[in-house]
Amino acid sequence: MKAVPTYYGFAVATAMCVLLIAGASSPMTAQVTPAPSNAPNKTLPRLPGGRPDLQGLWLKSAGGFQGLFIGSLDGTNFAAGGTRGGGRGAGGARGGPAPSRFEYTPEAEAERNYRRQNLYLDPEARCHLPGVPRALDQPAGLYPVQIIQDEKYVALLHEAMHDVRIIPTDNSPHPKNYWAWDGDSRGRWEGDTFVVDVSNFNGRAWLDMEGNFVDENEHVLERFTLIDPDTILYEATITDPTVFVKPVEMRFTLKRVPADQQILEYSCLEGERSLQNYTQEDGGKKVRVK
Amino acid sequence: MKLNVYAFLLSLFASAMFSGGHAVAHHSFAAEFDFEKPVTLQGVVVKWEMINPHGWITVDVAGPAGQKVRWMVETSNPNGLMRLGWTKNTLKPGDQITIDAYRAKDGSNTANAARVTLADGRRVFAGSATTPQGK
Repeated sequence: MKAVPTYYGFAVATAMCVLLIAGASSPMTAQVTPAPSNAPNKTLPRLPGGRPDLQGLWLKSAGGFQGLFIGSLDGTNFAAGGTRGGGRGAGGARGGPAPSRFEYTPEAEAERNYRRQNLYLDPEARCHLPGVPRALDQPAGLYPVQIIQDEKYVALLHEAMHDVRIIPTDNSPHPKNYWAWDGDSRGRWEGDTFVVDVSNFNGRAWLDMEGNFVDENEHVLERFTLIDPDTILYEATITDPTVFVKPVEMRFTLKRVPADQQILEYSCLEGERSLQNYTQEDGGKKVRVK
Repeated sequence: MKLNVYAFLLSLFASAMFSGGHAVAHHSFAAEFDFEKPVTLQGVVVKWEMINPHGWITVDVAGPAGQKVRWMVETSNPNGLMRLGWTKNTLKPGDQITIDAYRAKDGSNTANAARVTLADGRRVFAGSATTPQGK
């Protein structure tokens, strides 16, 4: 890995360059997420062994941002030639392609509704690890993930929560008597797609900050497909027979972040002062003042 | 695809800022703040903490009787702010600033920042995913 600038040097350089480009930014191209083909794509970057090279810094794409550009730091020109913010585009409430509707068992739906009224309980809001697929399914466009890869492992280093997933590529079995927020991930290559089987969850993670959840019976099958040199198509199928009556499908893209960027420190607990301000209507301790 | 590096990052950041969800990076905005209660705070910076998961501006605001009232104002995620151009020196103790923000639901002197007019007159974005247009 090449040397990176110091934190403050980077910040200053970023600030200077941001100011330099104010008013002169480029529009983004439209998002295209075709279904992956089985035919080998000769244009993709590859490791010496022939596997697609997923390495780099990636950011979850937002369905609503395409066509936007930033004109200035004052926020007055975020979307030239269109509705400011781009609306929700084809995405869901958080900007990315919407997951299919969660279809809960009656008992689980009651639990989801309880959690929705008690957002105070969200584990990630109190800086726990997000679980899978929430590790990648963060608010679109905000937290990058670094992928580092060799023949034996694919490592996902998330800025958010400093979450780390080191995934063996040998399709080895899950361990016994081990349960974790992110579960246990075992990968394999199916053609040019990296497929990850995730199990051994501790059952405490939420899928988002809206109260959707899974329990210890969660199982996730993820598919990472490099569909062009700057785009990974991410697909996840979540099954949990004690929570959902049908699998939950997620599908969105990760876009490559320019190589001179880097993961930044995310010391979650340091400035976390929000939960103390949650009101009782969301399960917190404060009384709402009308 | 040739991209301006910073335009790329800013675009992505803007997508998060304006994607319409109820996210303040990693917790619920609506559980803490009230869109129906915008507030404009003019005051003097006491402290600027550019820390994760959210930055905090401590600011002294003149109350109705001229008394000093201390507010705590949450900003968006500092890594995102840094990619927008913020630094730890963007706000200094003693700076006279104006913050457009939304009040906490509990009625305390706590708010969530949308934009800050800096001491040099620049008006910069400090907001979160739910920052409404025009604020």
